[in-house]
Amino acid sequence: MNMNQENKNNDYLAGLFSHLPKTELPGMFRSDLMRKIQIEAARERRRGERLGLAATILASIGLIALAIGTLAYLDVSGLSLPAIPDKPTLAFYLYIGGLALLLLLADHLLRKAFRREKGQPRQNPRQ
Amino acid sequence: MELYSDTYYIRRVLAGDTACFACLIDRYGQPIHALILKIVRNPEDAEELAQDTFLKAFKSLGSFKGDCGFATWLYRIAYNTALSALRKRRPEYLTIDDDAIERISDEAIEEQVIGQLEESGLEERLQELERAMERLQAEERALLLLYYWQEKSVDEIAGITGLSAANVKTRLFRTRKKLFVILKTMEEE
Repeated sequence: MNMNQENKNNDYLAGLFSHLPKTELPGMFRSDLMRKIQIEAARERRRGERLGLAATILASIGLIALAIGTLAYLDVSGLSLPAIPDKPTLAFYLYIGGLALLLLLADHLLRKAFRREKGQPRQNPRQ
Repeated sequence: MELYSDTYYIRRVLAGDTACFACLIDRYGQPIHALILKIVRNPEDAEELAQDTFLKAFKSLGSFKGDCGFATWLYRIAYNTALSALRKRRPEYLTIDDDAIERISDEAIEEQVIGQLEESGLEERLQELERAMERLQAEERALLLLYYWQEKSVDEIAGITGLSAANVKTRLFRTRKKLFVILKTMEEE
């Protein structure tokens, strides 16, 4: 017997299979699946955001390095690379820098907690 | 009535409108779940595997190039997901000797079995069919279900299973004959 459409129509098994009962989808199938899909979409979005941020940071560092390299190569007069300050001044600079970073982190965490409390979604910076 | 094509929904989902994926679930959820249920024969596993199928499709939707229909692509994921789950969970044993099948004439066995089945009612015939299907290997069961129950063409089945059309025809022919042999054996038991 050839397995083609014409023979399929005359096939005894085709008739028998056509009477097999159609099964119903489980009740929560669609909602459960859509919930998983939304979680996956959010994860994918976050991954994209992180990748974008990493690419921006890398590009910025690259541009700064390129600018410094170009200035050094051209030996522009009046521009000189800053000398590393003496030990106590460097420690003070590091202290101020660390303090600023800590304040930034505290600001980020407080904003996050505030948004969670208010139930507000995070604003998309692209909007 | 189907308002929009699969391609339209896929484009919307890829553009970030995730909710549009629900339309594809509405369209293919039932047949995909039904096929997996018939292959794995366990409702809990079938639900989990059907969800896995759609989740895999969602994750790799960007790689869907449209060189085959979306339905064929989705069925391919479902087919592979169901079969690999079965391979992991329980090994299946061949119940019928392949050489014995070769020795039996096609027409003779078909006529005998159809004659026997015709003596019983539809309900009983369907039960016999279900029981005989259980004794087939998962790949064979999937082939018959795709061809007869889901009414897929040989070319579509080739796209789903990754076999050539000629290979699908040969396997369908052999599996069909094997099913008749099983039905006959069951009648004799």
